[in-house]
Amino acid sequence: MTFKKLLLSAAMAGALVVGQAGAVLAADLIAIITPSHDNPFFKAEADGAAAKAQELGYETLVLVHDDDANKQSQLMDTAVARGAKAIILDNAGADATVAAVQKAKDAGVPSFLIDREINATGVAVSQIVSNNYQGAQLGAEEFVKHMGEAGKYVELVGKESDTNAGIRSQGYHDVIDQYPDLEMVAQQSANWSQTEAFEKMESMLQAHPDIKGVISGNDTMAMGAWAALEAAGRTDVIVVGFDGSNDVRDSITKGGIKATVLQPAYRQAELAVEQADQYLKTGSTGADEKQLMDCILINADNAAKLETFALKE
Amino acid sequence: MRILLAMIPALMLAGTILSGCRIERTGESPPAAAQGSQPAGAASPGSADPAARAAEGWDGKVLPYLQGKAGEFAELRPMLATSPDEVGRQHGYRPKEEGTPWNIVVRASGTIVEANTKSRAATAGLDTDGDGQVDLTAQLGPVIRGTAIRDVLDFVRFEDFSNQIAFANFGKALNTQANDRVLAGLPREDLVGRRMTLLGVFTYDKPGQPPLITPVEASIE
Repeated sequence: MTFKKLLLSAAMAGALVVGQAGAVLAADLIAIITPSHDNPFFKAEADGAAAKAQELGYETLVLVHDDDANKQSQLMDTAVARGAKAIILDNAGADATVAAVQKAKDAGVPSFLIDREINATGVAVSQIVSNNYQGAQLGAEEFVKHMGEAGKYVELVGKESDTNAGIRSQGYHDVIDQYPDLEMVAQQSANWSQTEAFEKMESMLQAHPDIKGVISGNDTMAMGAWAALEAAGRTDVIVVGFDGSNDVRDSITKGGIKATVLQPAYRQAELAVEQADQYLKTGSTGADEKQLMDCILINADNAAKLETFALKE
Repeated sequence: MRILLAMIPALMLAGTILSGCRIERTGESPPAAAQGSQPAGAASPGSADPAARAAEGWDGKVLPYLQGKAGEFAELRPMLATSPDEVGRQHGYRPKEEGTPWNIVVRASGTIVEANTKSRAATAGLDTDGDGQVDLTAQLGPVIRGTAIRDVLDFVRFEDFSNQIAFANFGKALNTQANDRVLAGLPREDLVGRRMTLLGVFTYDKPGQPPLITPVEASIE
């Protein structure tokens, strides 16, 4: 069976689907829908899911919703229309996604969520997410240690519609706020974006030149912040990220960013496909709907072992 | 300007509708399977305030469960190196096979050979076998790391909470109970050389290192 991986922009999806309809072979189809692959985290997810699906004999349809809930809804419809047997989804909003998953379910197509949860149970079959709170606590503890339990810092927060932005921020603060000598002087959302984080960091640095640290809700924002700090000659500032990307790994090994927290994104995507496969074959995944996977602290001690969102033994 | 102003009520309405939807959905009853295994008390998703839930469940459910589950640290320590799964099954819990470590309940007693009470995440290093080395680290608070107490409770499921934030708040509330009821009353001065006895929980996530134990009962003599 040939493996077909179709990476479509939403605009082209409809046209191509019609074009492909006659060519579809007998293999069952699994749709894999994630945010933009510009962030290597989502690319790793899509790759992990696609590779596992292929290994299990499925054809795959790989789509990106660019964090646009309307686009996501169209892509879900596309997957259903294409006859997908299951949808692997990293969703575009905890509230906005519920209806789209329900619609697919009503059409007989089960969804298996990864990375981000939705604000409902009983709609998706699985919701496999990183233990963001546990991970954030690990990152915050490392941050506090590097800060020496004292000093001014700023926080870069992720996209508000994503529960992970809130839970990571809370995990950070549940640790950091226990230290009265650590003072947050600014907190801004950079919507998970590297370029936005660069700009926000520049302006925060201007307003608060005496900061000692930056805690960031993900790695792309940490990279943006680090670039701004480097440009300003402030490589003394302690930066901690979240995700475990290769970019931040390289920065850590070069003595730049101090730490990040690895989410097992690749394995998480594989696991979702395994559960989809089992569900399609037996009617049950054998697991709870909502599942947490623990995160791992990455610092100078173990950064060399990190590769594509997995830790080599 | 007029357009902008006109949009405000529309946005507010949209916000109201969205938040309305969310409340309605979280109010839906959980699937039958979850209801079947739903315990009363500590983890009941019905009671909204995690702090209140943790406080109410502490004496009636949490402590008796931990007391019944505990193994002797001195006996379990050599077994952890060879058969951690066996120790975990007998004296601990993890919600699933993959991606989550065991959480294990132990009783331990030892001499404090190291004390870090300068940090707000204060700890005491205990020597339990008389060789002068730290065999376990007891958290003394007020900052308590991890969510070991929550995660060892087999009657608490992530699924019973609306999202990770609610689940995290419950874990934090259990830590607060441990701190307020047990740790806050312990001495802080001149700890080295004194004897500490505890019942506590640790997450077995760093094999080979002294476990970081969150005490739920403790005394320092």
